[in-house]
Amino acid sequence: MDIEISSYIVLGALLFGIGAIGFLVRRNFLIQLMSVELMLNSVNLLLVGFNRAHASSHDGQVFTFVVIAIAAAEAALGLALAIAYYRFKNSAETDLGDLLRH
Amino acid sequence: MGDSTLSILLLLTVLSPLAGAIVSGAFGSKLPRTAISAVAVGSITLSFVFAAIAYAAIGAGEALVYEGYRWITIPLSGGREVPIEFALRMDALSGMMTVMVTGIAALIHLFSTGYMSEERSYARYFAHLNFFTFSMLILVLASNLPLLFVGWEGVGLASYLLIGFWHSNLAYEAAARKAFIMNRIGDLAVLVAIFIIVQTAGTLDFTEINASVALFDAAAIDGLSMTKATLLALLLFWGCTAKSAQIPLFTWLPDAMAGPTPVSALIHAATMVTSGVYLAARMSPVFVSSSTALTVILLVGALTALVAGLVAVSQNQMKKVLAFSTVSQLGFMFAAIGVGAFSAALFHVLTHAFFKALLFLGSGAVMYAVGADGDAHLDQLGGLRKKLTVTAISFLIGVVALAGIPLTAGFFSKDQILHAVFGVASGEALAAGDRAIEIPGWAGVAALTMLLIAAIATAFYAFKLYLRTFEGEPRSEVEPKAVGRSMTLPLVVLAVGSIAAGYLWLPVEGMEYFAESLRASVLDALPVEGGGGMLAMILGTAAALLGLGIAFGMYRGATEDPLPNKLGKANELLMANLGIDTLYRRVFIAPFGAISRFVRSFDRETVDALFVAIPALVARGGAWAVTRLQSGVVHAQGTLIAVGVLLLFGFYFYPRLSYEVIHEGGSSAILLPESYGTRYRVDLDGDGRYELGAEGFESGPQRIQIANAHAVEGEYRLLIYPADRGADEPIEIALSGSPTMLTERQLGSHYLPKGARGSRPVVVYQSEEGVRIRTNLPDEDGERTLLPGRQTLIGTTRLYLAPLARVRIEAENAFGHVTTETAEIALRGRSAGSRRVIPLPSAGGAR
Repeated sequence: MDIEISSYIVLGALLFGIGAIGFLVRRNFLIQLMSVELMLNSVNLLLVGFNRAHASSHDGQVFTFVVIAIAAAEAALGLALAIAYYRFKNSAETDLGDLLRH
Repeated sequence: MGDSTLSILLLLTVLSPLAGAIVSGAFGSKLPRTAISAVAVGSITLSFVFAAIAYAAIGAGEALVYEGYRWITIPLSGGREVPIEFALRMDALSGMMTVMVTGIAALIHLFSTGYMSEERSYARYFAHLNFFTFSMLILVLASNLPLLFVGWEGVGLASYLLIGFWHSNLAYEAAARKAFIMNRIGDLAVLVAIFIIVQTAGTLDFTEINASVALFDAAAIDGLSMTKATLLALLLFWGCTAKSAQIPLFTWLPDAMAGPTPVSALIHAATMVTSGVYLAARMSPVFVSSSTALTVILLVGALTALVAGLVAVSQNQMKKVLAFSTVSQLGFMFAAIGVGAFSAALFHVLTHAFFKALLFLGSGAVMYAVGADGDAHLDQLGGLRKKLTVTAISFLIGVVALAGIPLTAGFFSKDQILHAVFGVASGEALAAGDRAIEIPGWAGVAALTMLLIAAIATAFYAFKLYLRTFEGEPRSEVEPKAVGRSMTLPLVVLAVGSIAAGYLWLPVEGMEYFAESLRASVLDALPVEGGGGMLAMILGTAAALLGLGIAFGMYRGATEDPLPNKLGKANELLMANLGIDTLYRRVFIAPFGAISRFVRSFDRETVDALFVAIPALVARGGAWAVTRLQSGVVHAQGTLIAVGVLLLFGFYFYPRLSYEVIHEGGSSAILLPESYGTRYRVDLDGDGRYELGAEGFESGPQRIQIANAHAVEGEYRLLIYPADRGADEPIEIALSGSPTMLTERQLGSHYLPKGARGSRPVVVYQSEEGVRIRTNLPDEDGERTLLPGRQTLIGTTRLYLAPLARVRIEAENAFGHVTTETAEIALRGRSAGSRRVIPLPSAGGAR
């Protein structure tokens, strides 16, 4: 079955939109982390999709792996932060962390 | 030794004190005092030795020149250049000054090692003193005016630094500033003089200036009788009144006594203050070119001598008496210059340097002995002769020399001056070289009278100073300290000089060299025939003895000073320097202060408010608004990021259409720029077929030529190229069926006959084959037809009928949105570039 590039783009955009809106709307640290993961993966999907459209090169796939590695690192760091944050604030509400305000 | 080897000595003479200044100034805090003393005294002594060797080597009329390097090149109009070299030149004049400066400076450095031995800033003191000597040597050895000016400023700076040496005392600091500022007033005049010399003579080298004095006989300002020589001499003298403390700029010198006493001796008595005399002597040919300037100098000098002499009479502090005495003696020197007796003035510079340095150092020794701070009050001295025998005897020698008692140095030099002034007063004709000098006799008489009174006053205050300090009963309980050998040795040497220096002038076998070479190095004004007589000497001696007699009569055995009672109010006035300081404060300083305060308040309350406070408020408000965005809350900041990303997208993908129409090489074209995500389609002639992008949109950049064939049938634009506005961008006029009148402004008015102004001379209207042009100008054809793509001339103005193209441009952005624009472009065509006149089908034809 041959899937149109536009399908990839639409799905990628949808996923990215869900992730972005989730990140902006939800207040929970873990949920926001998940939203970031979703955005990263939507980009991965696009990269793979475009690589399919331009099958002569493998740049898209290679780059996907790089993104996955970065996402893993980010998740590890993010979760560590989440734990530290919870210990500090006794809550996972990110709105409480406003020490860097003006 | 050859000349080149000898000339190096000049450089060494100058650099040795500089090296001393650098060592003491840069490393002084790490060196022991003995090392600093050795460096300071050693460098000056070395300098003295170099200078003496060089001076001994030059004969009368000869000069030793050290050529350094090209320092400045001043370009003049007409391709000429004025080179300014770093070059040192020693002739008899600068040689005498150099030896005198280094010799006296060496003695005073030696004296200072004793006098300043308890001073904390010992190294700073010697660094400044060495730097002063360096500057003074640059001043006297400079071979051109700008280099002299460097030294001139350098000694001013050193003087400032040393007057304010004890700068924690605010009064001393104020005295330093006063000296500095008054000297700047004089420097202004010297600078202007330098400018005039460059402009007139095209050189700044002393020898060349003095060789071209004839140029200065031209009028300074057209229509004024003042010559450039007069202006120059007066400007230079103005500079001298500041540096050499003459009326009206002399009030800084008495205040300058705030510095350490050896400084007063070196700078404010023996050397720096004589640099005005030196400058005048250096440029003596310029000064003798102007009898007017000489008269002014004579009167000012004599008046200064008189006023300062009288003021000195009433002073009752040692250094104050000596300070006013210095001003007075400088007045004598300038009176000598005023009658063109430069060599006499210089001789007095030399003898004065000896006895005034001696007197200052003597008073320094007294102050050291009694522990006086700042100045020694005469009412608290007395009877010091028994304790300070060497000091007292040498001081007495200085006093005798200052008073001009016969057979002392001061006698000989003062006699020279009085002799010269007496000549003018008695109406002798003077001439310098082949140039007659006319100083009015009354000026000579007035000057001689003032100088004689000043001479009486001089002898009086000199002996008053000695008697009140060393004779009588002690008026204070203080037990005087012993004065060390480092201080008495210079006193003895200077005392010997105060007697012996006078004999340099006598025509004794083997000694004439000094006077002869000095006379040869300046252009003296001499009596045309014989001249002389002993009367001047008799008058001078009588004046000195009279003053001495009065002083002895008044102070012998007196414990109280009887002068205040005898003079009453006059004494108070003299004590306060005739109120001149108060006068200056009221007339100059107060108004200037008021102006300054106004400017400051204007700056603070108006300028600062408008250009500082208000912008600051705006910036702060803006910053406040922006910092509100920095909430620190993750999702709020994330929203801002998202909004920013969307804005960037909008910026890149918002449908935009920009194009440019260019006319060059006789054709018109459209330029479509490269733009991210934008592609174009163009229909040139409005027929629905695309000339660009027939197969689909194409991306930029693109350049599409428009041919006349693409123009719309029957629509034109009239292009007007007025000759007076250049042919670059024409005025474009849209035409319609009804007549259009062209205004004068559009046509370019310059060619129109006067009568035609404002008469709306040209009417155009559209016809079937082109446009009809009707003019009512007298020398033009009445009516003509202009075809599309052709041109015609009305006067010098070119009219061109341009076909009009209506071009449709479509731009598609990344999202497929299409923007359309229609451009109306007047086609300049091929013939628009030429000035060929098209034959006209009108009845008259081309005439």
